Amino acid sequence: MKKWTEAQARAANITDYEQFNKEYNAHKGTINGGIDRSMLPQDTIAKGYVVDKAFHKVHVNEYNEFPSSTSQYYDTGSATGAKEVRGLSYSTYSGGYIEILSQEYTDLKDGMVQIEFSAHLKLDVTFSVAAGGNHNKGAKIALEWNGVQLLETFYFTQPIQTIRVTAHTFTAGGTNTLKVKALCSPKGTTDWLHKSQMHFYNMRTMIIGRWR
Amino acid sequence: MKNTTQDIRKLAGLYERQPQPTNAATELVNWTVDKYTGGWDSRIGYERYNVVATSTFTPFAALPRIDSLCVFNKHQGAQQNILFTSYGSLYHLYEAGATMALKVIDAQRNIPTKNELPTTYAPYGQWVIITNGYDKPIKYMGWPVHKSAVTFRPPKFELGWHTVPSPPEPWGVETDPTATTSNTQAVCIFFPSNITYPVGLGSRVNTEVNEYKWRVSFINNTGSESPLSDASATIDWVTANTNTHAAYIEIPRGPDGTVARRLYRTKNFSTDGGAVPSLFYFVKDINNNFETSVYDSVPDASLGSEAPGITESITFPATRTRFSAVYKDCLFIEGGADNDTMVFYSKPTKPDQFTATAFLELGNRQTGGITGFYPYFNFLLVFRENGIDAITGDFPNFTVVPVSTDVGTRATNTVTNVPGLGVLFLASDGVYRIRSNMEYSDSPGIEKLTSHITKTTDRINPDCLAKACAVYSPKWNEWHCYFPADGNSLPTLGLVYHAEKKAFSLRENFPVSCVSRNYVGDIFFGHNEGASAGANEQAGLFVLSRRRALGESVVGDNLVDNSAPTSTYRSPWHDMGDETIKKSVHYVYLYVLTQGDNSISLGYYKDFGYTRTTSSGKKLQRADHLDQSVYGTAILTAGSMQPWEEPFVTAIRYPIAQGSCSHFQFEIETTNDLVLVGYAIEFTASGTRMIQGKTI
Repeated sequence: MKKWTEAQARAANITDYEQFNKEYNAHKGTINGGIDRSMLPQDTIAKGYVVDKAFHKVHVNEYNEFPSSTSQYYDTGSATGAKEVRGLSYSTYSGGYIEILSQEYTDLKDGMVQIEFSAHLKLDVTFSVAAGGNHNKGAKIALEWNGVQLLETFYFTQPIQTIRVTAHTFTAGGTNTLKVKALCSPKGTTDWLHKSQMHFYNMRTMIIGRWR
Repeated sequence: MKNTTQDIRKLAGLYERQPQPTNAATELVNWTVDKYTGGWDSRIGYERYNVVATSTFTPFAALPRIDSLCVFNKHQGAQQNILFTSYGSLYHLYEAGATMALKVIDAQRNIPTKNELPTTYAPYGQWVIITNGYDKPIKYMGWPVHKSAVTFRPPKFELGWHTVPSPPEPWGVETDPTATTSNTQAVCIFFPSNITYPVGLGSRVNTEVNEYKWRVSFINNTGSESPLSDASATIDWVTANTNTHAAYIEIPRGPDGTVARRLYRTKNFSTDGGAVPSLFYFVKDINNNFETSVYDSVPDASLGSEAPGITESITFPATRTRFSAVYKDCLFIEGGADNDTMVFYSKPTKPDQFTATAFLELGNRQTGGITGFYPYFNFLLVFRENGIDAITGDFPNFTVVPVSTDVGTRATNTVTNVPGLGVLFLASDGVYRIRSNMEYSDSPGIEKLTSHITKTTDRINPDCLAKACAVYSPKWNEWHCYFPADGNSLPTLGLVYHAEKKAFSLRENFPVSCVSRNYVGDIFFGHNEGASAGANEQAGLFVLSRRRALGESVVGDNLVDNSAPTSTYRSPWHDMGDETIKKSVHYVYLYVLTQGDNSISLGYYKDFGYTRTTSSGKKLQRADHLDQSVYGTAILTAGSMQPWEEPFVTAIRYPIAQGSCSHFQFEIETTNDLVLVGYAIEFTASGTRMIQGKTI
């Protein structure tokens, strides 16, 4: 903020240090703390002056597939037929939300963060059509930021599709954790026990943190 | 004979009645309160706003009087927008460019007459509402504006809706997809019956008739919805091949500031459809103000809620409103000079949207027209020429109750909240305050604060009271009120209330036309004459500061400080306890802070007489000690605290030689720096009584 005279040293006045300090404080404060748009001429600060990541930060992470061959949800007995996928089956999954990825960020500041998750989702919907409504298959995605659920999608129901979910939230500085969870329909009476039911390929998260 | 000393340690403020308290001042001009001693401090002045300018008052050099001023802060002061009017133009002081510049937001505006209120401003969230009683009210965002290198496009919009959208124009529905008709005003977009989910307009039963109408409204950047358009022409068709259809509709674009259009439609109101033709339902928002057409395929069963009634949004009810205020999230406006007992209020958080029934008629012509608004506790105070009302309640059930039918004001720009004191305002006969929360306090009321300074308040020119302005500054802890005095049409005299001392003083030779402050409390004012006084005269915005100058003057190629304001302190008439006994005053001791070698002289009077006797000037150094270092001769001593000094409280003795008197008074008139903490008067009461009164 611009400063006007806080104290004026006049000829023949005593060399009053308090008055001097007042004016000094105002002048120096203008330089140190008062940088606003009324003080800074246009284009004074170019991009080169701004420290990297001063205003925003972007993270893009890739995770391959879920479940991986080492996951507890990976059914080594699945995919017995030709051209079938091996992965999560009803022998390893009994329902409810399961964590499909977790990512920790340690360099965020206070501000807003945009979170995006994308993947290709394959579902086994063999019995969705033929075996009645209670066999309909689908998968839901939920995003959690520091344990707080930000969103829960509707059911994705197509046998294979690209999904992209985004959320926007306020975040504190320090370490923050993103978790992506997924839920698959529970086993119906006619479902196979050892066929891959829900599989994520090319999982990718992106966060854009913006702070001021 | 032993001398007696009358000691005055705590100086009070201006007091023009007789008899006076012993610590009062008969005259107190151009002082502020010294925060260390509580005494009166002469170290004030003003300087130009643009401290960077060196040779002229750029960018204001050509501006005549500044009529009104608004400092509109956002982001905790980081975004400060200064708006002001001068000679019919509304300016934004553009400070983000390489050099400070003036940008015209609105030109060809009304220039207020000598007794008219200037433009007023009411911050409303990110907006400031600008009204002047003649031109269309403006809502202004302040920022962002385009860079100065390109055309300046201020974020300025009309307040309220001034037109009703023209009705949408639906094209007809062509039911034959193979038709090669030359009718260009019909389209065929159909949904065959093997699409099982509901889509499209009309019945799927062949030969049934389908009839529809649409309305449209605009949504603007405050979320306000415009009045509904008239209904469109009816389109109708007969269902063929069990198809439903999408309709193609041309829609109007809204005025500047429109961000979306909202489409409403009837359900099928043909004899076959059976819906009510006057009932419209939400179809969709078109989230831009660009597209001129839209397809509507929303089936009747999927329509949204019913359209708002035609009374829910009307065209702006008071295009000549003079002032506005925000209360309970609603924007309150008055009806304008020709409808000045009417108050309109917007929907909460939607300053552009007024319903047909959202108004209050205040009536009672005796108290006169509305002259201003001010939100206070749970009330919106409505100032009137001769009275004050209060609006209470919540939207939409506001009610108005009278607070006063005697005291009112036309000095709208003087209504100010002063912490610990209440709402202060200047009326034609002085300063009043509204104190305490009228709802809960056991001692609410209106109280005149200036009964003891009527010699000053009698100078108010009541005909031009609307030109008065006031501001409270937390930095100075002062309420500054400038008003036209002595028959002038513009503010010529300042009345300052020092909250710390609960005292008034005067400001003279501060050319204030309008006043405002920034978020830290720096007081800005617009010059009351500007370039009208001639080229190179002071013009534009100035800041009350500690600069010991009354602004600057152009001398050659430089701006140089004018002389410092003259500060005058005149003591009360002291009778030393008994005016009937003659006293001989020997000395006056001024308790001051040492200030250096600049001298202060003292004048004195006796028995209410005019004759001033002046003592020789005394420099503000301790009399019986070595002088403190002063600027100009002080020598820096390396490694020591020299030459820095601290002001000491000391007494400076002035000899008085005026014989005996009943009443004694002294006066200080100086442009030098002085902190007057108190004083003492040493006198001898000889026992001689005043002589008998004269006979004819």
